[in-house]
Amino acid sequence: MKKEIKIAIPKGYLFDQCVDILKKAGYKIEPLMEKNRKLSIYSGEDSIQYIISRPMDVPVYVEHGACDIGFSGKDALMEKESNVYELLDLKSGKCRIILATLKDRMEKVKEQYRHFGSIRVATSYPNIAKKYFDRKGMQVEIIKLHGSVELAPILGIADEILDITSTGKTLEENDLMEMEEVVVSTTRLIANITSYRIKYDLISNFMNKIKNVIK
Amino acid sequence: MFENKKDSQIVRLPFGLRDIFPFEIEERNRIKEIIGREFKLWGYGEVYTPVIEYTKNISVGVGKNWKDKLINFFDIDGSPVSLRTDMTIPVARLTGMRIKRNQLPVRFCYFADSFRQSDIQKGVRRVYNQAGIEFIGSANTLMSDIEILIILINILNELNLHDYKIGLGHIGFIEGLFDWFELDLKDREHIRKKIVVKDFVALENFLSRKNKNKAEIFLKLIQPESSIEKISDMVSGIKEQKVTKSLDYIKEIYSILEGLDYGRCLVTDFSIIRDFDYYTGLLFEIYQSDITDIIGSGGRYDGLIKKFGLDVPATGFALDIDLTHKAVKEIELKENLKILIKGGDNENAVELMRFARKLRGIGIIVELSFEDIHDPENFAKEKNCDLLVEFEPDLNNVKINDFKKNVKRVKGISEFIKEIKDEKRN
Repeated sequence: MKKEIKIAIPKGYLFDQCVDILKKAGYKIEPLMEKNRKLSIYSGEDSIQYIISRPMDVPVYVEHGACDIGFSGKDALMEKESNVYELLDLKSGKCRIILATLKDRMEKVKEQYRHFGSIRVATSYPNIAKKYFDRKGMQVEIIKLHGSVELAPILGIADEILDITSTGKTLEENDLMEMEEVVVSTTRLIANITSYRIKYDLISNFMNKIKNVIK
Repeated sequence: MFENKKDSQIVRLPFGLRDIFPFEIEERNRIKEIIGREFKLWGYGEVYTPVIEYTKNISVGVGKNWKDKLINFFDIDGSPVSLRTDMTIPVARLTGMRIKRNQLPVRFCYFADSFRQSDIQKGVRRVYNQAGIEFIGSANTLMSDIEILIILINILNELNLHDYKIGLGHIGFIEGLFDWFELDLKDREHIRKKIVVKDFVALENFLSRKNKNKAEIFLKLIQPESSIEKISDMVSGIKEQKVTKSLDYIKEIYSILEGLDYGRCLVTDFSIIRDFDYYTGLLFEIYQSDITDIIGSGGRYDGLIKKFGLDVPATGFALDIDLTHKAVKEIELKENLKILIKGGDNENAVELMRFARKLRGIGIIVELSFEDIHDPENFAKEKNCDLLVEFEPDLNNVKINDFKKNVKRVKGISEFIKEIKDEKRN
């Protein structure tokens, strides 16, 4: 059996934090820092194949075994409900999924829900949104958008948004106000169910090194 | 061979279902043959049950997540009915309905499609072709579990599956750990769910709040571990009866299978539990390094058949044929000689059919071509034929085009048949 491990790394805002943790754990990160657009990078020294993917796709790659393990935000895991092992909370990459609406429409939205018994919510997380409102027993219409969700209330296609925020700056700049916190998300180490058994020695070795450097 | 035609009308199938063509079926049949042979040699009799069952029967004892997987309809009297999601429940139902105590134990095997609802976004299939066995009503728990494990290992070896692993778990072990943790029913249910969805982070957070030291041990104990001694050392401080009893049980399985040289593929993994309330003892799953999903699973379900009126113990497993097929590297298909006979005039039908019958009688595949084909040689090659044969006008001789040897010749019919017979014998 190959003594090699494939790891999915999310690009975007989680990338630097993941690389930082890898570095602290003693892995060679130079291959990852090269300024090119390669999405598949092999680190010969550590026998690791890195796959750089969109954060939302990390659980998918791991579930289908394209990667043995990966770093994924809890938000992506909840949205995808992937059949993977969630092994470790890296306690970094913290962000919150919140419900927000336009500052000056707060009362109106509540009024509307009382009147029509339903509101429209724009989100990139339709699954999380559905589960959340189901649990509250609220009837909503969910509109899926692939980013810039903050625009939806401004353009009038939705009353509320369910979106991710870390500093709250984007909300502020778009005159939005947080109404409720849905869930707090941090980065997780996840594993494919077969790899977890077949390559357990490699995975647990990796996991222990990571464990030692997270606070 | 069966690509989509460019000019064809677009016809769709409901998602998660597919057609299977002869080439794949042939390989699958070969796999099923190997599996079926092993089942038969141990005395398992094949059963088949209806695809549709009453929803209340098919969902007996299953968790909520599983209920979401049912594909439901209404019967003409309005009763909800569902497609079966596996064969264990139908076989349990059949046993409860039809088997008397004095007939026990019974050994059943099956090859069947089951259906599970899925999410269109995930694009996961909705049909599962499975081969499996159920060993019902044996009072000897250990030996019946051993029997099915040996059958399973024999099959995996016979299929030449390399580096596969069988993960062994035990419900009693996890329940014993719950006792040791002094958890109430609600907490147990919560933890069970977290283990089922494999969320060890949530599990650790939850358990650490209760007892940090115990939590650490708990999480270590549910990791995959191939050395049973290591687990023994780890549980030495836990005096729960359920824990020690179930671990001893796994140890006995290890020792018997190791004695038979079957020990290498075993891994202990107490995180293997299921979303059903009728599993009572041993649980196991089969992994193979090239396949990213579980290719089969099984376990002891002493609690199930009593729901259908007969309180008897039972154990069994099912292999996923699609995944097993993908895992098998080489399948040796029995190569029969295949001949294409060009039919010619309908007046010669009797001679033609007689000739073909003789060939089939000695095990040759004979495909007849009644059509006026533009290029018979190419046509025969595309159909994977070894020979193209055509009657001479006198009906006593045939024109033979042998693709393998690349020779064309004319021969008398009886001479030709004798030649083929001799060739087969060698």
